[in-house]
Amino acid sequence: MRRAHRSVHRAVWPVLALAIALGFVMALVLRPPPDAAAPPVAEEIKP
Amino acid sequence: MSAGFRAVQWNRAKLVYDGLLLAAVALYVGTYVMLAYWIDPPKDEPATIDVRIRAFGTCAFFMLTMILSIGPLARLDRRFLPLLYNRRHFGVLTFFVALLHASFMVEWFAVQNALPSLYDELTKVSDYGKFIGFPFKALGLLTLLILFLMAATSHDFWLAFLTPPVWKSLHMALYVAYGLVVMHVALGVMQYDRNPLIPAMLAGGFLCVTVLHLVAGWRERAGDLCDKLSDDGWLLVGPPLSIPDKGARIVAVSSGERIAVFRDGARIGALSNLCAHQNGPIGEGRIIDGCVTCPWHGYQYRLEDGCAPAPFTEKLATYRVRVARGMVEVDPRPLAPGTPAAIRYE
Repeated sequence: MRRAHRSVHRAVWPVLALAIALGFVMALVLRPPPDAAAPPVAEEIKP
Repeated sequence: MSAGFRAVQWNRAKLVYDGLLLAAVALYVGTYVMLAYWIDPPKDEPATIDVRIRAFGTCAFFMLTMILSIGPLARLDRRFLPLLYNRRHFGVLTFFVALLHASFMVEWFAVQNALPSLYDELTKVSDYGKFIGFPFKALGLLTLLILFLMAATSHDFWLAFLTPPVWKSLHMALYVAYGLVVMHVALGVMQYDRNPLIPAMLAGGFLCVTVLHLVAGWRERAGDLCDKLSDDGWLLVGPPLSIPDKGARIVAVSSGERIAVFRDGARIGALSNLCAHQNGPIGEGRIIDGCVTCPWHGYQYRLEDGCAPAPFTEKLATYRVRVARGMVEVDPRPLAPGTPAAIRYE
């Protein structure tokens, strides 16, 4: 890897990792409660 | 090494690598489907297809996690280098596994005559403004496009055509693809399936990739910062015997590329640390059959002038070397690729 690649890698990787970690935690915390999570009829077309 | 165009340069190592990969994918998918049928047998055709969607989807996620882990693992421990050798085939196979996952998803809608629902889901613009309820299939589709682009440009033809720095930059899009996959699952199946294995799989894979990259990056950064300059601007490497025989020490100046200083008995030579093939770390390789050999794909160069042995034509930049007061020193200004610069000390 060239120096430029390493610099970009070191700068971008932690930011990307933090953004994804935040997105994952939000998706986990904000998901609907189990009874509401059961797909209603209209939403059943969702594998 | 390449002396002409060939579709795939098969050799025994690549055949074994690919055979093991295919066997591992077949074993994973087969085991997943068998367990799913044993635990909760599917009751209708859509449920049967759903098992396949999940089997291939999780398989693609684990494959992506492994591909992203191979690079830092190989830097931290040389025993992982064989995994790196044919990583491109690993990536191409991952694209096909992800493609099967997507095609089963389309089939799931098709068997229920519900393809318009899929279209509506992907084109309902207002949902793109939501977080929970975001059209997660669009994230999967974008990932598939990135994987296709990378699989399509994985051949050495594209590497030579685009040049290694551009090709490497393009293939760094895999990190974006991985992030999209994590969110594809987190905003998709994780929202309506309460199986705790789903968040555990996502968090485990993501943490593994992140920690490995941070540790490998931190270790390399420490190496980049520790080099000293002599009064006239040459880099101090250390006593000749501090360089392992038939191996190298890697040095760097803050504003330049890394330099690999090799020792072969009483001969010392310095080459650019960037292999001409994929910019692999030459300095982490060894001298085999008298040639400096890249640890990634075995490209070879002569120590004295950085030229690949005939009939190959690749050349590396070399650096002037001297031994002063018992210390090896390197001039950090590169010479033209192929310039003889190695010395013999005693």
